[in-house]
Amino acid sequence: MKRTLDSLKVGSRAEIEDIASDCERANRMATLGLIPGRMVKVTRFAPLGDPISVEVDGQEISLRRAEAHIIQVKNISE
Amino acid sequence: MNAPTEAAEPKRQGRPLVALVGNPNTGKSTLFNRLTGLRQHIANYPGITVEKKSGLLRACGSEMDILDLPGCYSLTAVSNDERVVMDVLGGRRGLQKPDLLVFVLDATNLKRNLLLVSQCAELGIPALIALNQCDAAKRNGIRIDVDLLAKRLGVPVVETIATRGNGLEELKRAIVTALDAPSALPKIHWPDCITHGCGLLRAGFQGAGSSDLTQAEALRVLFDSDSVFTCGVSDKACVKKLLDTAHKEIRESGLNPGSAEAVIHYRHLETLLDGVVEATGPIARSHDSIDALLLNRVWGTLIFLGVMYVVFQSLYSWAGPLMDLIDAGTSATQDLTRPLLSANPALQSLVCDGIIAGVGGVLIFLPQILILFFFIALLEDTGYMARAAFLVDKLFSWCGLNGRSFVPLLSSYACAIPGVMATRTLSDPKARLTTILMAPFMSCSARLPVYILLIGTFIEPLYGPLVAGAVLFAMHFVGLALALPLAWVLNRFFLKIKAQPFILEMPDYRVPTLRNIFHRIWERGREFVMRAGTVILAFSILIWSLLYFPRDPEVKERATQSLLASAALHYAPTDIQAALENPESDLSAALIHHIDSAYIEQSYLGRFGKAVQPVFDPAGFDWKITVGVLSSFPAREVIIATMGIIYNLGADVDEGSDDLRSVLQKEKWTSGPREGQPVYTLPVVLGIMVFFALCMQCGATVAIIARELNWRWAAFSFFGMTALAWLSAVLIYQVSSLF
Ligand SMILES: Nc1nc2c(ncn2[C@@H]2O[C@H](COP(=O)(O)OP(=O)(O)OP(=O)(O)O)[C@@H](O)[C@H]2O)c(=O)[nH]1
Ligand SMILES: [Mg+2]
Repeated sequence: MKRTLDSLKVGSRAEIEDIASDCERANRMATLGLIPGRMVKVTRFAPLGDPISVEVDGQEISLRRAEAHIIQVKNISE
Repeated sequence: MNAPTEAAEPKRQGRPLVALVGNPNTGKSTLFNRLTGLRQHIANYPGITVEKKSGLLRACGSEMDILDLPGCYSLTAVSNDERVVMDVLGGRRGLQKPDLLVFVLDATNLKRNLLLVSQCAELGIPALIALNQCDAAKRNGIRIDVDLLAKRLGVPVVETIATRGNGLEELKRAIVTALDAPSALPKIHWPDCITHGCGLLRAGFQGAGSSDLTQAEALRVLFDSDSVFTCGVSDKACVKKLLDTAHKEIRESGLNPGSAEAVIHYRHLETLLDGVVEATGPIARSHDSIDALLLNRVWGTLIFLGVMYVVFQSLYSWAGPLMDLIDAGTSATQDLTRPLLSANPALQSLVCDGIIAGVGGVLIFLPQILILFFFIALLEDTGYMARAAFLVDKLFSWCGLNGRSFVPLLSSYACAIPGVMATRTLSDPKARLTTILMAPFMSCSARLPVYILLIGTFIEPLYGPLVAGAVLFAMHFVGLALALPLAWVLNRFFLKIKAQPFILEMPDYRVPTLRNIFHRIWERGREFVMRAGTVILAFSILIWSLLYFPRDPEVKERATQSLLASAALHYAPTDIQAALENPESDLSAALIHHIDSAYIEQSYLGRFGKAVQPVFDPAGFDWKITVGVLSSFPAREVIIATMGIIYNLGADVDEGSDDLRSVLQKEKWTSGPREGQPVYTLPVVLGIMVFFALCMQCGATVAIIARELNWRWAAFSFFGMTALAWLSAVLIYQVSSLF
């Protein structure tokens, strides 16, 4: 089964494999640097568990779990 | 390069137009303010509520117009902000196309900032780069080879530090030079599948009889099917079929159509930046350690609560003395002008009770607006706002709002006006719309006097201070408790706007600059007074005239006679005569109040109140309450003064006035099936309070919603809330009558 970004624990790293979603959402995330091939690191969860904060290409981005769920990841190191 | 633009659209005033473009938070507005000083003009873009800031720049003996555009990450036109950028850059909706784009880039994150530049290259507009925040880049150990960057991009690059004004002269010179000898950015080389897809779309659009697409526009349609360019096309199915074919081809060449654009741009930028950016040593970002504290589960939450408490307290209590001052100023002005106009009572009342009271009613909002925008500027400039949104997003996401709704909703507890204005920080149009519609439900401070009067008069004497306190507390949550589920329903079933993903960039922490904060406060204050103020003033004058006219002199005579007749039963004629001659006497005061009360009853609004009383009858409201409710539509706190007049006590009563309390307790129905029963029973009192909690009795809020959204939404909000308020009051009265 494919792992998605929202399933990662705090502190783990992974490589983005693909963004499985409708065009616009994927486009929006890709613009901010969440593109296939890059490494992401989950830096923290919000106090209520959602949204999560990730680091990609030296910048910190917060996104909701629902959005993280469409980002498929591989090569996970937890 | 310049010639076709000029031919297609004659330039207004013959001045060239320069637009500042860039990602959010890069320093465009700071630079704009530096370049133009206060020679600014703020308007709205046609049809959208994103403000259009333009200013005049004088440099090297020539003049040009500068436009400060809202920040955007890409040309994907989803939010209103982005739509504006698209419209301006494309010269759409009758907007003048810029002659030069000045890209304001954040040097600490050059690659992502250049994505927009790379996209805009397709438009072929002459460009220039302002490499801003060089100080922050240096601090982070980032070194940028500016000459190499300029060479690779093919346009001039100027280093600036907008907050300190460094590099400003160079930038001005570069702008003037670039206008004379423009250079455009080189276009990206697209893979075949994409060029082909664009060709397909262009041919298809031409076939569908819509306006021809340029290459740049075709790219937008290809990657952003919601884009503005498809709006004009009637045959949506045809567009969809074209897109499906094009996307299929992209997929076949191994790319994901969703991320393809960014992937290709970033790939291009990586080679372009090779050797340009050098990070010396490890990147020492200031925010990691601060975030560990501010976003901590326990400490972060506590600090957040503390910060919000300070914001709310200052809105609630710091603004108080200033508002009292404005109030006192208004009364003093009224008292000063009243004698000057005593020759003409109608004019006197128009000037004093209509205009001066109306202007005072506008200015009274200023302290809260200024204080709130001080804090918002502070929170945004330090970088905390994004963190706050991150912390509380979950509380709001379920009903279609998001973490950025928190500050507007919290401030609406002090006053909905600054709250609605504060929704500008929400870039998602759907969440912003919902937040604006929910803001008036928050229990603003103008509702407090009504609660205090009614709770103090009816609940406290019967049930004691404990219950009274609990009811007051509960009243503050009635609106919120209804608003959130309503937001959910609205979002789920009615709003046909697509929800945006809530993705936030966590900016670096920064030390805010006073200059920036002052500018923001100044802009908001000025805008409120100039734009919403005029409408609010008009409302006040309208309501004044409805309460003043027709003012038949007979009313006064009859009122005088009836009062004197009843006085004659108790006092000797000589005493009455003496009392009437002394304007300080009780009888003279009573006479004035009696006449005022009779005038209100006979005014258009009074007659209207009597006429519509049957509508409020199911809630147990008599005509006096109805008139009070109606007259408080422009501003709910007015009800206390109106009640004072209606119950013959004069307009200067307040919620703590013992007279008003005892009159209310004794008030009985004078006719109808409930004759002889007290008017203010518990269900009626609760009904009135809930009515005030839910009703949009605030002309200023209606005006500000109309300004931030449009008149249709303002009307929707007004009528919706009024209906809801009525329904709730009726429900309370009817259900409790069953027991
Ligand atoms: N260190 C540093 N901070 C800067 C510089 N220029 C602007 N800032 C800060 O960056 C923040 C954002 O500045 P703005 O001018 O509001 O940015 P903007 O590009 O207009 O932002 P949007 O309108 O949201 O797109 C403010 O806190 C500024 O003080 C700079 O050269 N150096
Ligand atoms: Mg700005």
